[in-house]
Amino acid sequence: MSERIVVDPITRIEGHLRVEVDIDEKGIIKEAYSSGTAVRGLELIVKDRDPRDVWAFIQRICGVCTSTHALASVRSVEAALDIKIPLAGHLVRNVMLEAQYMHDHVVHFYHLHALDWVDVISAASADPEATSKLAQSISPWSKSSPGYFKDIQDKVKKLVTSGQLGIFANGYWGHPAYKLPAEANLMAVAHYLEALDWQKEIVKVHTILGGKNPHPHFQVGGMATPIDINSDNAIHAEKLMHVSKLIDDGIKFINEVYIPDLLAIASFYKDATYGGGIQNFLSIGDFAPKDFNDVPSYRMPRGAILNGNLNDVLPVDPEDPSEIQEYIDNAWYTYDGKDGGKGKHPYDGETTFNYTGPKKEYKNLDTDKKYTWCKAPRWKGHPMEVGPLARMVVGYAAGKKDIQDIVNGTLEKLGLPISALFTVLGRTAARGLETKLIADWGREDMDALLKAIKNGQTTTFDSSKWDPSTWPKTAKGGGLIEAPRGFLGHWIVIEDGKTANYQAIVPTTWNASPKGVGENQIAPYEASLMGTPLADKEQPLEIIRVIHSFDPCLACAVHLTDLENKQTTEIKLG
Amino acid sequence: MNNSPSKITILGIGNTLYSDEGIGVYCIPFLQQIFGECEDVLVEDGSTDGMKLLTFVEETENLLIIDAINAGKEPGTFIRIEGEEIPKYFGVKMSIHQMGFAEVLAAAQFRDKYPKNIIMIGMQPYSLALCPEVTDQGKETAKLLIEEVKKIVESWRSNES
Repeated sequence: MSERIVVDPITRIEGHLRVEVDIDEKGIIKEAYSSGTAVRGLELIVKDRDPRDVWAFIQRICGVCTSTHALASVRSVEAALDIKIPLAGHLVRNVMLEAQYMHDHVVHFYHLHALDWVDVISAASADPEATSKLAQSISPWSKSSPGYFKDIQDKVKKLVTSGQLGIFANGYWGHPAYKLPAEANLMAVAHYLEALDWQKEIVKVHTILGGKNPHPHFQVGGMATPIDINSDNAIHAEKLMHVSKLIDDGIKFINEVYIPDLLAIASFYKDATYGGGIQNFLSIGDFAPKDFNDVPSYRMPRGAILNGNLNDVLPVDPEDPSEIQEYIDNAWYTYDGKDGGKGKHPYDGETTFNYTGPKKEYKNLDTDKKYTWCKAPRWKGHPMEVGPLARMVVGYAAGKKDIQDIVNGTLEKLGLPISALFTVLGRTAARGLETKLIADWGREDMDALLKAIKNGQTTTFDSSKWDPSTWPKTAKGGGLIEAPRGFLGHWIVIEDGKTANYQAIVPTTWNASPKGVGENQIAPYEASLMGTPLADKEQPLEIIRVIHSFDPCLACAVHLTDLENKQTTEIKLG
Repeated sequence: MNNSPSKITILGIGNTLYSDEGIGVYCIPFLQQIFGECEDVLVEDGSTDGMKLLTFVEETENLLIIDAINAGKEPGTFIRIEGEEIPKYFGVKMSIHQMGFAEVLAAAQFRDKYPKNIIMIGMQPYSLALCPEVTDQGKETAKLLIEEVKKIVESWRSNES
């Protein structure tokens, strides 16, 4: 007899992500259901709007991923109207995207995921002297004295004795699946705090290059912020030097803090072999050095891998209506008035809500019927994982030398086989490794930008198709981007100068999607949970680890400050 | 960019795509008109920007947050919470969701960089429907919020002197 466990971060049913799993007598997960319980109908808001304005609405889809949505949106209009971006504009966008990755991945590692592996409370019993030795043995990072770690420890102790854990409340502290020695825990807590400081700095890349932050400015045809090294009203020489320094500081933080911590923590969790999932990977690719339309030049290549077969990188055509399709058989939508039965390419996509889930407070979702707001995107009918692991696997299989070197080098250091990639740990490690590569590309692109400016190529915006009278009566285009969480696509259909249809497939939709109809139709979250062992079913830390390893982001919907339901984390047993 | 700490920071938070959820952000342009020239006041659209808002929280002495607040009251009810009451009403940690503003406050607190004074004002929303506009009734209440902001700023200023 199996037992159903529910992890729902929000007690109210309009919450974000809910996971229900069935476990057997040994605590192994046999069946899993992931349900996006918040509706996202942004596509409806932009209908009939001026395509040049859509990015400004669409970037509000999420406060964290704002610039990636804006970029996907302007790229879709540029693809539809065949607009070429000037080199400087392209490079500014690249540097902003690279800074976004550096910020997102570091924040994810330290502030959203590390505490699944790091026991904060245990840091209170560490020896600061030994912590200092440990830190100095793995990195030249200067903040590593015994006194420094003692100060951090005092803060943790103060928090623990106060009984108010604040930022560290609601953890599964003391759980048997925590394996780090106290000193490693203390070191990680110190870096958790340092990362908070560093992340405040790196976002200034967006403030400078995007004119403002939050919500930097983008523009169809390039970038809105002009470059003029001598003008106070433009991106001038001093600002460029500031960006340059922020990138260098970022590279240093990643190389001397993030990567050494990742390797140190990973070395204690080599037994975390669960959470691998479906081993189908999709990367749309990105990071062209000069021209986004030059797909073969992408430093992060485009391609698909099926069933973990690294010998065969399959070509992907995002424009082919038979390749990328979204299904709704298990999601609360209809297509042409029907409950499902077919997939639709985003150009022909449809967002028609049809909620048939529980009407009141409920104990379990009826998972035999539709059970989520997430549609089910498929590539040639296959569920696919997107994100850092997908990119590293596709890049590795495609023979990208820098990706192969960093992956092989890391596996060698940890003494792990290539199969270790296909685990919860592999997914988390892939994120760190790509951050290191992308930070270096940030340096390359910044140097290229400075060189272009020196050569007088300061134009960031192409105005030749700004005026709608230059547009064809109908046009359509896909705005493709590798966002930190994975392949993000926005597809626009323009008719008579207006947005006739708009569809977005966000990375988490690929990963968190529900089951499809037929064989081998289990998507990444659910597949990764299946087979995962729970050491303590009342504290399902392993579920949190697996889900967090994907860096989920179910579109920052309603975050309304809530005085009514103070309880926000609920673990139900039933 | 100004790196020196602002004495008073007004932060509108919320998601502008969900009607009155965006009321905090809706107030921001009006407040920028009022306080735009004042060197001691920084007015920011914080939207839903998570940890990126830490700078604004940590680099000020007086923090005023404007947001939609669900207090289970009649729609349009003005709500004010102060000091230690604010983080108490949050409490997210093991959330699957990205970091909320609660964690930003908690992080500032743990780092001993918490503002000296912190006040949160808001409104019980009329609607949270998917719509990029605050409701008409919400816009009326926003006028009250803006008046309240002026009073709070004045009281902070007079305490300074």
